[in-house]
Amino acid sequence: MTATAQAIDLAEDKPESLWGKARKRFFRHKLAMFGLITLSLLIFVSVAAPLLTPHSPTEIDLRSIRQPPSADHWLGTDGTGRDVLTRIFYAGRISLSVGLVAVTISMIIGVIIGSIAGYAGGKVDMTLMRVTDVFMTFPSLVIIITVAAALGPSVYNAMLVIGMLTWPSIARLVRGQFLTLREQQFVRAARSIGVTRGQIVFKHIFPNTVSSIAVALTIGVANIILLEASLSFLGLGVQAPTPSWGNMLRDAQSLNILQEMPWMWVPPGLMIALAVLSINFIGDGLRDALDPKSIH
Amino acid sequence: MSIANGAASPSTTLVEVRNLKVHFPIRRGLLRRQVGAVRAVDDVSFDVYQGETLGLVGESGCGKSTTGLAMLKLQAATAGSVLFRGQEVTTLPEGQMRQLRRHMMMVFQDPYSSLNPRMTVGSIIGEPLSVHQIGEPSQRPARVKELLRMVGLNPAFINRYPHEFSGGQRQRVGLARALATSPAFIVADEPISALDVSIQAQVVNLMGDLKAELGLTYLMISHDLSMVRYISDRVAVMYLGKIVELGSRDAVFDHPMHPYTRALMSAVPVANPKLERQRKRIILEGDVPSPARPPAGCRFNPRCVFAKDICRQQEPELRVLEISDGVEHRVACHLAEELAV
Repeated sequence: MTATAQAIDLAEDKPESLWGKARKRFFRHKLAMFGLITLSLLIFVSVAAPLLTPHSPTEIDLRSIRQPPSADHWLGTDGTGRDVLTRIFYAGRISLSVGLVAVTISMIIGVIIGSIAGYAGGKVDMTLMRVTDVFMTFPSLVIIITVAAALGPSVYNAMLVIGMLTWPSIARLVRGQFLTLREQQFVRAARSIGVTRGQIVFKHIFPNTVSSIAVALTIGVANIILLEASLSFLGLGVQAPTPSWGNMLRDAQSLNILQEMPWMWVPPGLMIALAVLSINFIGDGLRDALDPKSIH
Repeated sequence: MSIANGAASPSTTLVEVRNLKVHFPIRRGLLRRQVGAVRAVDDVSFDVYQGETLGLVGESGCGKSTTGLAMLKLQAATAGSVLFRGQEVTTLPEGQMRQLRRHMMMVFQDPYSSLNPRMTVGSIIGEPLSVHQIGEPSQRPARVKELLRMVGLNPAFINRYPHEFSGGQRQRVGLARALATSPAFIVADEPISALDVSIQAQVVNLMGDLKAELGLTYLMISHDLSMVRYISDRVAVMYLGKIVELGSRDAVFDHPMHPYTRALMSAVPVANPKLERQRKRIILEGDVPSPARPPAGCRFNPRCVFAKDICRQQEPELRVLEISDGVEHRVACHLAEELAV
């Protein structure tokens, strides 16, 4: 030990966990904070919808069809006289929860398959990746239409099918990460000191994949919200009268509405864009926050 | 000049390596059929004595790192045996091997990738303690600080992450991790080759001090001949998966007997400019043959200026030629006696 080491042997650095530091970095990330606030707002209006508007999302009022925005209907009414503002609030519940549930399903399958393939390597990897390839080749819309035909179109079926079809990309990502990390010297170092296989996976490899998984997760949620929108737009997802941002867009399909009545399609479109954008920003922020190398 | 403490007593053998082979299969085609093997380590035998530093030198790809990994069962051996305190290592089940690992540790070449970027220095150094359940969990931070102090780092750094350190400091962290369980044997795989020259001497001296302090035994794998000369008691020279010469440091460096060792030693620069000007380089012709298709007979014969028929036909044994400083000097060359004259 050198004298200088002793001389500067000051008080110990304050112990700060990785999570504590990550939280700090995340809250300093401007775009991520914008995303978090926007998303919280979207979740709030969806959850608190009954308290925020006097109208019901399914109440048909044939006397006020396709009304432009007014004091009573802030964003106007749709083709059957339902309040558009109320409907986009309620639609948020469906669209956001479809995104969340479906991404959870695809995340669980993808992480398990990907980490097994990446860590085991060899024949296990070969087999699992070919299965993944097969899943990737499925034309998702055709499958979803088939399932909708067989089981009937519903929110739950949409969640399940979307989850079952989007895991391969996550599995591939996780596998790739495991393959690189497995060869890192620190994994060999862990083996050399006698760490068990399970602990190597959970303590040494997995934490290093968390940031990419977090990013994939947020992009996944955003994509699934879009996929749900297109499914509902095609009439295969969420069924009327339950509103979702996608089926609200479908209801506004006619050229006349698109040209003359923007209040029927701009708000749900904007909500989709806002949700996807804010979730992507959060993903960006998470990636930066979870990287211990980022300087702040 | 030297920190090596002379010839270690050859009576106590800590690690015994016998006919160790590590072959990597070459697979080709759709069915991944094995069409050959890279003979990274091909029939290597040597002993590591208690308390000594054995230098293992050779050029890149000669199998020295693979030998070190196989000795710690971090790389499966194809054949042969490694005895650690009389205990067979190569066939030991993984569970029992883990128990044994606390006595045999490794220091890695790359101080950047050998530390988990998401763990604090404290948890990196403390991990061997918790894996082997050494001491009470509440006392481990004190032990970690002691280890940090031992390798010349500020104990206050315990909660920092590896990226906050320089290469030399990281290598000290790696060293502290290897020392945590008070092991008997440490394999150091090119511990300084990734460091700045100015830092190399510090780390080498630190390793020397720790060895004296803790009674360690090192296998020092390196291609840096000056460093090996400085720190080793004995030196083994590898070429293409085989040991070609093994003896006391002075014997190997001052009277190399194998033509390859001679060429290798002639490449070491001398600090004295007068002597340096007189130094005669032996330049080897040609390239190292592929370890997948090593030449018949002596592996060095295609590049050896002395090669005769016997060298192309018969593989030379690693035989004892002389005993200097009470240490056997072994050479794998048919012509060693002739060339010595």
